[in-house]
Amino acid sequence: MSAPRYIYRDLETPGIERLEVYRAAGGYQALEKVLRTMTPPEVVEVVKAARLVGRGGAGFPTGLKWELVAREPLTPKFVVANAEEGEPGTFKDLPILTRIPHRLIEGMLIGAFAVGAHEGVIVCRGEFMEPQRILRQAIAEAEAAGLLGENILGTGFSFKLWVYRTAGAYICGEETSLLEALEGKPGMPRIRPPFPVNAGLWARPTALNNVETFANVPGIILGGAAPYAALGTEKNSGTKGYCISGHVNKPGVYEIPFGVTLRSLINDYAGGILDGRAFKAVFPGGASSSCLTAEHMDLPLDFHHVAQAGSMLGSAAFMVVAEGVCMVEVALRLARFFRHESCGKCIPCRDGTYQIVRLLERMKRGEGVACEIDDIVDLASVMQKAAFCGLGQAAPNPVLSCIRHFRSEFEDHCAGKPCSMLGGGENPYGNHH
Amino acid sequence: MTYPLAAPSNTISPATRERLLRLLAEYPSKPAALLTALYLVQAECNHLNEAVLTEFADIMEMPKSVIYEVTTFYSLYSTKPVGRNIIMVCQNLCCFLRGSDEVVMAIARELGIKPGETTPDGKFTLRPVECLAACERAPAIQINDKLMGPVSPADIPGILAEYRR
Repeated sequence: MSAPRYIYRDLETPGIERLEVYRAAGGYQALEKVLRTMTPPEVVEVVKAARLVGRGGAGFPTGLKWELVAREPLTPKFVVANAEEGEPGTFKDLPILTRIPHRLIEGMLIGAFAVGAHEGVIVCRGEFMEPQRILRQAIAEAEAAGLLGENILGTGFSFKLWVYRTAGAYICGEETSLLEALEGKPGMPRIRPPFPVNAGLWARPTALNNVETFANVPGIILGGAAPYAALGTEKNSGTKGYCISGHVNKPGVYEIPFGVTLRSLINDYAGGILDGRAFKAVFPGGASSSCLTAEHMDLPLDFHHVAQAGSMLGSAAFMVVAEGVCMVEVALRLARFFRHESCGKCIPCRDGTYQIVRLLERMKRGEGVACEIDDIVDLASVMQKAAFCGLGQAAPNPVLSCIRHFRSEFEDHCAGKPCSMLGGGENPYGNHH
Repeated sequence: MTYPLAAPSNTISPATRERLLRLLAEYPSKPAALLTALYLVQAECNHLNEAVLTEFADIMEMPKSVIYEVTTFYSLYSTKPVGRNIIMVCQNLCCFLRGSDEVVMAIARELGIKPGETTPDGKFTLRPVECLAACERAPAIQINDKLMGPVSPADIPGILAEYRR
């Protein structure tokens, strides 16, 4: 449990959100090293050699992304941080935004130098009011100290950074929807290609990365690529902020090298299942992922192995469900989330999310018939194949996996059997959406 | 945006009009300023009804349909009157597992309204929401700009008392 930390290093240091404390702890030394001793292609090479991949869920190689933006002849170029943290189960970026904002700023500065951008934006979900205040204050401090703005540290490099508040839509975590919101439009996904690296913000080349991805960069630059690449698994190097919540004794976010087992994450880090209850299921990548069950306890948790087990690591948002919870209700909660967050652009998602909720609510009321379980499976298959973006394609995953692993619970509800498990009855306050 | 929100108003004040024009100058294009500008107007007018959006469209020199589309797409803008304090209660999986239904009901009881409603005195709106990114503090609630959690039904009267004054 004592592996080096890259993302949350110094998290517990009092006042680390302030520039002087961050600098005293070694902050902005990576920026100095980059600006004074390295060329942009050298920075890209280090990030590539570290095998850093995007932490937003897709796992795209960061060095390659930066190289693609750097190669584009079109200017101006932009660097954008995705702080739209909103996948249920995910709360890994909030500590960076509120406690170590300068690590994000430093990571973005290094990214900007690597790709040749002179302007950047931190796009924050609308609910994150306190993080925005802290970020704006940190940016003002950095500007006053000559770390942002013109001629940074006297090196001639310039970078302007600002914070943008969106207005409440999970879909804005999808990169092209985020760019739409940043341009002042409804956050509906764009067709790809063109990819943001070629035509992103205002159709200019844009390096769009997750907050956690940027936070890894200063440590990689200072410590070198090799020690970072040596951490983790063969497929995924470095550390990850693993979020774990739900029925565990110590919910929280833990920075651990890739490859920790599910058993170790739950028992060694999260203090075991709440009140000594038995484990029932876990959604490893938030609301968009399929649940895993007890047979997966020894699975090494990296992108590759979780995918092989039929789910996805996503942003490593582990939602743990103990025995005694109704899985039809679990499926319904997650289905309602996607119905609420579907942007309405494409029919498979807009109507599919609506119909899945309707069918699950019928089951919860004892009005369902068993063949409707297969109707959900059919509907899910259409959504997975035909939805426009990742939201609609992934939306049925949690419901399908609940049916796959706990089908008898759905059949019992359809047969009108009373369910005494948590959430087995009707929602006490009805359906508010 | 400052809290508590203002009481409902149907007009944009000259001061806010000035702030909007200054804001427009800071952004690379008018649409790019739209989300920020809507927050400004909502803070003054409480919500964004047709009269307000019509006036706003004139100031922005943008089609009303475009502005209406954006306003209704995002969940943090409201076209109907809301309470001066917005209580958001997460009801997604992690909070549900830790008892958020009981928290919603405790707030509803304390305020004498149903989830989704506003108190008759216009002080509170109770809004069940999807995920506040605070699952480790489940069940989590956010009142205006302040995130809290974990909260229990027993905490509710004390928490609300602070906002009643």
